[in-house]
Amino acid sequence: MSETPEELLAILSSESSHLPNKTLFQLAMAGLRVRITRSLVTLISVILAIAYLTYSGVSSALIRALAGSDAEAVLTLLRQANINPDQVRLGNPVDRWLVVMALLTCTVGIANAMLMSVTERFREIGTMKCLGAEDSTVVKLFLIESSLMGVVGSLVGIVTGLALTFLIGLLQFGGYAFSYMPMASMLVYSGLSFVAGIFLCLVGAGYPALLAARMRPVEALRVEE
Amino acid sequence: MTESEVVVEVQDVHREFRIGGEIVRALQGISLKIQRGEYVSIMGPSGSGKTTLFNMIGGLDSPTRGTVTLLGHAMGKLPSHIAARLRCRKVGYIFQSYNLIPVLTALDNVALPALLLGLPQNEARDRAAVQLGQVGLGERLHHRPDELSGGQQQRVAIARAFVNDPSIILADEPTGNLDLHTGEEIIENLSRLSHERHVTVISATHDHKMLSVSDRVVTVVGGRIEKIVRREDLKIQVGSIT
Repeated sequence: MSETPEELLAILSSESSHLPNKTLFQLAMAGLRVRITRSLVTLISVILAIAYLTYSGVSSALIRALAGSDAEAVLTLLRQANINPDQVRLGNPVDRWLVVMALLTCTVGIANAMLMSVTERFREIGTMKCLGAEDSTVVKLFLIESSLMGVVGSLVGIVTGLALTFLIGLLQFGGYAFSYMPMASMLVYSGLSFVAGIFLCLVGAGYPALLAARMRPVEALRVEE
Repeated sequence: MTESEVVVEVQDVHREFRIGGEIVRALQGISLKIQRGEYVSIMGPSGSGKTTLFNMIGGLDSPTRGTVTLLGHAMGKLPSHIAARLRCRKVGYIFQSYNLIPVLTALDNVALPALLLGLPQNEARDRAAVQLGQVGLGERLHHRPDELSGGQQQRVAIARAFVNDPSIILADEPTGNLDLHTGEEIIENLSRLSHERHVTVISATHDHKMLSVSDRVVTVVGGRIEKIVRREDLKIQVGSIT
């Protein structure tokens, strides 16, 4: 109560005012729950994009594995599926393009959802800043919210993508899809997809989070309900 | 620390806003000193600059010219994170529209500033529960804001404002959205807690009920202080009206 201005400044310089991660997590979960419909729509776009990424990665790895086979039966199946074993190493540019487009669309979708979440919460953010939350706390809140979406979306997306790869592989190549499945590549592509999912969620949320953090509390409080 | 310690000093503060192509002079040279433990009401018609002055004191807005000093620190000059930490430790806010976080319970709303201060969750919640008890909401700890009445929400906001033992409470039209009786209850809570803890209260208000508990009433008109009336003089005035 009775420190001098200098003592107070020393305290203020050394002790930050951040919310513990547990509370931020709780607020982020609540934020997603309150906007459940929009959260689900965004989540589905993450799931689809990541499923597609996983599918195209793992299925091309599978085809490469099959193309390297000596068994005539496998090569026949490849030809039947209209795949030229000599060309598979190069990868399909159309597929790549589609993957990139899917990821971009998904990032834009997340940015949009987070922007709306920021706009709806102007007053809440302003209040937190009045109570003394630092800018970084506000940034963290929105990044946690979008990473939650990224983790769930990526995990579900990877499972969906792998399921699709096996299903389509089974239809095209029968049991060979399982016996030739390159497990190492499957893990690598799943891991990459997971990282990509989190990354695009963070990219999408980056600008909205900065916007929220930079807002001056007085502006936030001026917003009428 | 003496009784007469100045906690807020406003020196020749001007604030201009550019709205469209025009410059609006919201504040035109305001000077004011507020002492520890004082209860000051800032009155004035809408558009008088009352809210602007109020925001300056809390460091939510910075002056175009002049200085606002809060506990010895020039508010406009502090880096934003230091100003945030200062608000967290030393300033409690009460808003006209309560501004509770809708997804948190009363208890967690009140605990929030204590968590910002760095207290562990249990301790923050214990403190919050005590505060809520003091505003008569000990039975409503786990209700969310939308399950509480306006007056109850404002009492939660009061508890939240006091939870970090601030030096100053800034109350922006705290009774603006409440009926007469509930408004009185809020004023009673606010003045009782501020006297008990020797906390300075600065309140922007239209509400004449606030005057009876104020040590000083500052009237702002057209961006200037029109008059400052002390409580003892105020009573005579009110007496002459009624």
